[in-house]
Amino acid sequence: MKYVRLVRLLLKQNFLRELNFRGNFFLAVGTNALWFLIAIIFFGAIYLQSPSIGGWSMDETLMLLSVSEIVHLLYKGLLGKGVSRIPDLVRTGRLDHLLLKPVDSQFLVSFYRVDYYSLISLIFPLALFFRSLERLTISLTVGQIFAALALIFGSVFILYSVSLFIVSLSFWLTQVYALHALFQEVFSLSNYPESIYSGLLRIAFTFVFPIVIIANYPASFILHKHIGVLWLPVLFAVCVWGLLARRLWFYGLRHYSGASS
Amino acid sequence: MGWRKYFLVARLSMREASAYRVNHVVSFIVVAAPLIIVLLLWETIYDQQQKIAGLTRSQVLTYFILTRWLFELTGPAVWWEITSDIRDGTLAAHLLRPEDYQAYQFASIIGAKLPYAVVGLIVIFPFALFIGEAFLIPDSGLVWGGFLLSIALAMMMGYLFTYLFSLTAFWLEEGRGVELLADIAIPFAMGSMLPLSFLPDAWEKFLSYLPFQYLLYFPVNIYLEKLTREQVLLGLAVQIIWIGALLLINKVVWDMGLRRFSAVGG
Amino acid sequence: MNAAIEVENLTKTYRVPIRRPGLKGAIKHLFARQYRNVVALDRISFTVQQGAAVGYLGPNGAGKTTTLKVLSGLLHPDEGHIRVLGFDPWRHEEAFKKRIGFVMGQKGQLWWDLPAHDSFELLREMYEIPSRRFLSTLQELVERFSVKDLLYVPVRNLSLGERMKMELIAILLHEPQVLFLDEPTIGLDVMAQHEIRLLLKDYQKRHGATLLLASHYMRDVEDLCDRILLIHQGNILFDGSIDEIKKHYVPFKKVSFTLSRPVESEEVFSQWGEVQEYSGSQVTLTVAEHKVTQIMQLIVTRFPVVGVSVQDPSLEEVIRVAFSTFDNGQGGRDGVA
Repeated sequence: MKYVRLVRLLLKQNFLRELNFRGNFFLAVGTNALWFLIAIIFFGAIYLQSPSIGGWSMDETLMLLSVSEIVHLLYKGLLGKGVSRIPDLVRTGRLDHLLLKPVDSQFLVSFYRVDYYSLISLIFPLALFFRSLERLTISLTVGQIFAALALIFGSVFILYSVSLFIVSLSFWLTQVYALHALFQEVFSLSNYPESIYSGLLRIAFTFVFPIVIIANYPASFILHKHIGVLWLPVLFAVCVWGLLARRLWFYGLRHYSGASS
Repeated sequence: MGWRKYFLVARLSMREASAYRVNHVVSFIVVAAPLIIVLLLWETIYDQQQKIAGLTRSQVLTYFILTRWLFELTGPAVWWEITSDIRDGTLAAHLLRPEDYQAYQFASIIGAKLPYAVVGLIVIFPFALFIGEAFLIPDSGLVWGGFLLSIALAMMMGYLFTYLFSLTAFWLEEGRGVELLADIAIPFAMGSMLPLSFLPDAWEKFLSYLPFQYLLYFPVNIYLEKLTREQVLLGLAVQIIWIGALLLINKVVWDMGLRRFSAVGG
Repeated sequence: MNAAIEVENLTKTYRVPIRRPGLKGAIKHLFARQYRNVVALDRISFTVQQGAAVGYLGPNGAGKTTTLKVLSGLLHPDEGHIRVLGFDPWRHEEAFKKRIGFVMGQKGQLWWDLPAHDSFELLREMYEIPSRRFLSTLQELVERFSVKDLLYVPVRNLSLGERMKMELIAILLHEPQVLFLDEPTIGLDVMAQHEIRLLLKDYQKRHGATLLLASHYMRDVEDLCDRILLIHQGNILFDGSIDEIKKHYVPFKKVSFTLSRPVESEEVFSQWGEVQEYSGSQVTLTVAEHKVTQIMQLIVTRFPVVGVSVQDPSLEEVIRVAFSTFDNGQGGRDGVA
């Protein structure tokens, strides 16, 4: 209960905080929109020359693109801003204050900042999502809708856990910022159809870098595409990555020495 | 006399960049993962077709490996050193010294990028192995000559754009808008996202009038032997013309900026 | 009285990576890191009674902040037995965290762009302070700190002194029983420093809170604390009251005389103590403590004395003497960076 109230309060405070920087609104939302637009152009150009990518039609790929973007923006909006601040907090020792609070430190650090611009930017992929849904004449039962939502939020959680895991390395390494940015780049490619992966690489990108899971699974489920056992890898990734991230976070705290002796 | 000090600056900045070479290797290895995914995507696209948008499978795979490397050398950016010099007023100290600021930054930036070029080649190598025979290597010395010359010119152009973008700090308190342009729109126009021939004709035509394709698309096309000798010569000439034009533009912008800088009081 | 803080054989060692220059060194570093051990705290022990105010003094890197961080649970101790209010800090129990507060002079926690009140609201939720109590505590604190009108001003628009007061309120809101203070007045002007000290003293008295204060400013310590722990290179050199420490290290007083007419030579005075100042009609001597009365009588009878004053050595002097005797006595051990 306390945690629900805290999330609500943090959402409110962050909103009030953002009102101070109204100038950033168009820039930040514009950035997200521009990236999304370029991704659409990218796939549009490919489908101009080729009717399918490994069995995925253009509308299906655009559906995948919108789901991928939704997952990323949800993560960036709710948790990503807090997570990407961690190396800085560790370096400057400002993590101290958060650790002293009688609140779970992983929770607090993750939810401390909310990126409203990313949440607002959700309108772009949502628009594409519903357009694709209509063009593909897909119908979903209520149960399927809930299942799809569960898969999407599972993806957000996996993305969050992997990021937290990487960022927790900053307790030992100083250059973690670059590493984090690069992993984000890898994960931004989660909008490619899963059919491009086969063999060992498919296993690697499902379980080690779970980019196949985080967008392709929910999208395939919505598209009624069959890509094998669906729930098991998701559950596996959620549990393993969630646990790994939490363990490394607390293990890292042991090594945390603040900025000074 | 004048040139020696700039060589010195370049060497210093090269040494500074080399100090981080382990970081370069590490970050390049991590960059490798996205490149694998990109290559897998294009392999899949070529499953059903021999030739798309005038490019064969080998050409496209080679294209993406090469551009990944070349982009680090020629891609324009907002250079933090210059913008902070302008914004916090350190520029004044540079102006007092007997040096040309543009030449100084040129030496410093090129010096910083050269170690990257070498490390990048080493990291790119496994990808060439990964795609095997599909990795094309031209056997004509003329092609290599044209390719290397166009890279040198592209680096000049890239630097001049970097400088121009950074000079906007004279007017803009916060340069996020310019960075946005430099980070998203320009790489696309350079052909780093996909070969420009994939775009609808009108788009391709429009982008060909912009200078940005000469930073990446053009040099790689020379390498892939997609161009006739006349086209190569013409392209090189266009690069040189753009360099001249940018030098002029930068001079004008610099003078205007400097007037503002001294008016504000630095 | 119960002990609020018990520390026994607390040891903390930092591992500092050694980097060799050059590519070879960098690659080596990547695979086989070498470390140098730096002892920040070397088996220190002390106890602090509930309601006591203890000053923790030592040069930079002596281990002051490290101790505070271990006691508040921020740092994991290598060895030793620690109890704060009966809790083991490293276990991070919520009940423990709710009863301590940590003031960090350099690091604020308030949201920069929001009024302080918003940050307080968040703290209320985190510490689960009942609404009624929150309102009355806040009311009282803002009145005592005289910042009532600033509660709804964005923190970035406050002066440094005002901001520090708000930071203090943020930490006192949940009425901690143990307060750790790390340089609470750093960077403030003299007036603001004085005010903060008064407020802290006031809080400590009203709540019977235990204070552990690390500071560079002797005034902080002199005004707030009744006991001093002198720490140097990870060891406690001295543990006692301010008077005791003065007696222990500098058993001297400064005696100054003003004479109605100049005395020719200063050498006459050196038989009684070291002459510190001499300007003909103004003389200052350092005199062994137990001889002060006797010597004063002697001088008054022999010279035309107009005024006399006796001064304690300042705490700063005492500390300087203490550290230099230690350094001379023990030579160079591996210091702490």
